[in-house]
Amino acid sequence: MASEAVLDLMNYIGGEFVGHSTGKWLDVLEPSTGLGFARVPLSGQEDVGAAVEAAHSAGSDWGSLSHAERSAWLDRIADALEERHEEIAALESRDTGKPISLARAIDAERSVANFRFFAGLVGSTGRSCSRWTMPPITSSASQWALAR
Amino acid sequence: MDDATNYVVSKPVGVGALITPWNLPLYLLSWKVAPAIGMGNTVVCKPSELTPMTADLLMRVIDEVGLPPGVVNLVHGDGAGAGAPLVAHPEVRLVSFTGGTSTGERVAASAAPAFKKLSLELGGKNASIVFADCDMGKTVPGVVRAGFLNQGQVCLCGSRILIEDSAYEEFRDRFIEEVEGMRVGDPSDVSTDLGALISEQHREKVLGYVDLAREEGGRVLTGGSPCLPSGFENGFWMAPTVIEGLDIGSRCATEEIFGPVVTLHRFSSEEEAVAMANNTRYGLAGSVWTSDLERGRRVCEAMDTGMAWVNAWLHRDLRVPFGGVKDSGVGREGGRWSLGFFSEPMNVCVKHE
Repeated sequence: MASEAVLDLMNYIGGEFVGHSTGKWLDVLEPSTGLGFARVPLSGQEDVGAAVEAAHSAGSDWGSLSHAERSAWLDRIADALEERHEEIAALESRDTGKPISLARAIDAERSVANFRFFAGLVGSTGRSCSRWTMPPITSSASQWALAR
Repeated sequence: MDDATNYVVSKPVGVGALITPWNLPLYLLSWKVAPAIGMGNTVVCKPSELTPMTADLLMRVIDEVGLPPGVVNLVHGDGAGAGAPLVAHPEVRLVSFTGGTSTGERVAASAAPAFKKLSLELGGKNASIVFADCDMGKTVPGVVRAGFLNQGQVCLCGSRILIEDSAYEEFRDRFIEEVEGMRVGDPSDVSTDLGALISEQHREKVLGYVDLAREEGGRVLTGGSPCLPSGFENGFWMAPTVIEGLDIGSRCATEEIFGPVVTLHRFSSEEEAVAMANNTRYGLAGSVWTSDLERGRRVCEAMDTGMAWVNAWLHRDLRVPFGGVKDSGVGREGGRWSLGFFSEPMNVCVKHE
């Protein structure tokens, strides 16, 4: 275990895995043994700025897709996560110290379920989610609200 | 108004900051990413620096499936170095944070003056209320699970157990037996019930509460100290701990410990149980254990919490609202509440000719 290569994680910005600006790292410890098995970047303002900028730039194209198109993306992510069910459970158990049975039932199982559930819910939501013609206003409270 | 047609367009909010904790890392990250991007937002994720591994895996999955670049981004780091500038960034229009109440205060203080949409899911000090007419065979394991799942490191955990006088001794004895029967050890073993705590620092905090409980007059019935499973002597272990004899207003009975520590308390009436349950700054969840479902419903509704269960705990349907009141947070996520939070409804009114 001690000879295992330590993995250095990277930020994910604008579709690329990239290094961070500060040069600072934190050891990721396995709670059950107290041993480090990875290093996580301690990113700073510059990295945050780049990530927000990437998100901002992608916003217009992504926001103009239909709900159905975005729903299909969520389903694709769910499919890919589902294929890695056991890898997710083992990694989560190792990283948090929780029993593998719990990591399977919650972190692995339910993360797939989250993407699937919201794929369904988002897919059933139209861009214009409702249309109606309002009934005539009769109550004075509503009239007052309207007058403001 | 029959001379016009109204409709509502559901628009993205903009760039969302999604900040997630170390207890249920991928579960909580996926709970936010899915509805956020589903409703057309783009996001920057900041997972806990203590548990970054499955967030990294999710990014690799997202990369593999070819999601358009920039829709989901991730910045690793701690709260001060990465979380704070993310929440404060002027282009960020929405913040969804799950974590501790004191950090939540700082997130709110930073986001609110810029009128960012804010959802905070914070701490809890949840009651499990056990009535004498409950089905003991189901209640004891149910309340043990509520108290100790994930080593008690779930915001919903029922860490204050309120027991009706006439059933106190029977419940306590069976509860202790069940707790002592849990297997603490190797997380990779499928028969393990409890693993390690997240960090040395956190274990010290939890153990500090056990010391405090003794000072406050509590009796430790089981646990109360580190336990060191063979082969794992350098890990962050702690035996599941049950304490009785504390005042319901004591610090250990009202502050969130977030570890494998529960306190037992007696009550003599339904009204007293509700008052005890509500005697905390938190208002996240609770559970009621009784064979009288009408009473179960009534007691649940009397609790100042966002969620409550009758004869169950953490029985989750993704369609229902999730969140708390008082110092447990602001807003709700889950089902259509998530879609509402992660979007802006715009009303367009077309006047007829």
